[in-house]
Amino acid sequence: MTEADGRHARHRLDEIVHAPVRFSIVAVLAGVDEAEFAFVRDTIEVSDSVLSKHVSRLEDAGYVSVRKGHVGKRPRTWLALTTSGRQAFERHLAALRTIAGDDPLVT
Amino acid sequence: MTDPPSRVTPEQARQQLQEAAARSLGSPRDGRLYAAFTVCAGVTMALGIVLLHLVSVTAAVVATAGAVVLLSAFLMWIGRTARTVPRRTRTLMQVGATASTVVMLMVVTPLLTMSSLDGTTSWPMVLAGAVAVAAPNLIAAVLIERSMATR
Repeated sequence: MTEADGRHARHRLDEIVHAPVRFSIVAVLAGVDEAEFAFVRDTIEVSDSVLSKHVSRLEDAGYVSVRKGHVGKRPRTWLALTTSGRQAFERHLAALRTIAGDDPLVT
Repeated sequence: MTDPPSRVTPEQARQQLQEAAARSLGSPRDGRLYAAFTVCAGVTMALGIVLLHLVSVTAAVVATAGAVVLLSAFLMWIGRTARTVPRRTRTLMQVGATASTVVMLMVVTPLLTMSSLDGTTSWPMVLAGAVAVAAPNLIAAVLIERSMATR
C-alpha cells in the first residue's frame, strides 16, 4: 500500500524498533510510564545482558530513558519510553497496520 | 535473524501488531496500588475537613498530619513494591491531588470558615465540603483503575 508521497509503507518502518527484542521492549514500555528493568526482562523472557545491550541501543537512539535508583540498599533500574520513542513506535505500528492490510508479499 | 524492514510480509506485520497488543498490558496490580493510594489521599483530605468541624483546629491539624505521614509511608511502600508505573498514572494522581487541594483551600475552607464565624455551619454543609474535596482524587482513582481494565 502506498502513501501520499508514493512510497511504500515499509519505508516508514523504524529499523531500530523493528528488531524483535527491541520491538518487545518498546511494546512493553508503551503500556507504562515507567517499568523496572527486571519486570521488562521477565516479561519478554531475555537475559540481563541481552536486555542491557538492546536498551543501550534504544537509549543511544533517544527512544528509551534509563533511571537508576535504590530501594533500601538494592539498586534498581527503571526504563521509560521517551517522547520520540513513543512517536517512533506509533509510526512503526501505523506502517505495520498498512502492510498488514496488503495481500501480496511486500518485498 | 530478523528480516530487514524492506522484506516484511503482511503476515509478519500482523504478528508484530498482535505482539504489541499483548505486550502492552502492564501490571494491573500496580494500577490498583496507585488507585488505592489516590483513594486514601482523597479520603484523608475529606476527613480533615470533617475533623475541623468535630474537634479543635489543633487536634484536626495533628490528626491530619498523622494521616499524611501514613500516606507517605504507603507511597514509599508502593515505590518499593510496584514494578511498573502504569501509563498516565502519575499525571492522573497529580491532577487529582492538585484539584482536591485547590477545592479545599480556595473553596471549602473559606466557605466553612465564614459560615462558622456567623454560626451557620451545618453538618450537611460540612459533608458536602468533604465530598467536594475528595471528589477529584476519587475520580482520578477511578480513571486509573479504568485505564488498567480497558487494556
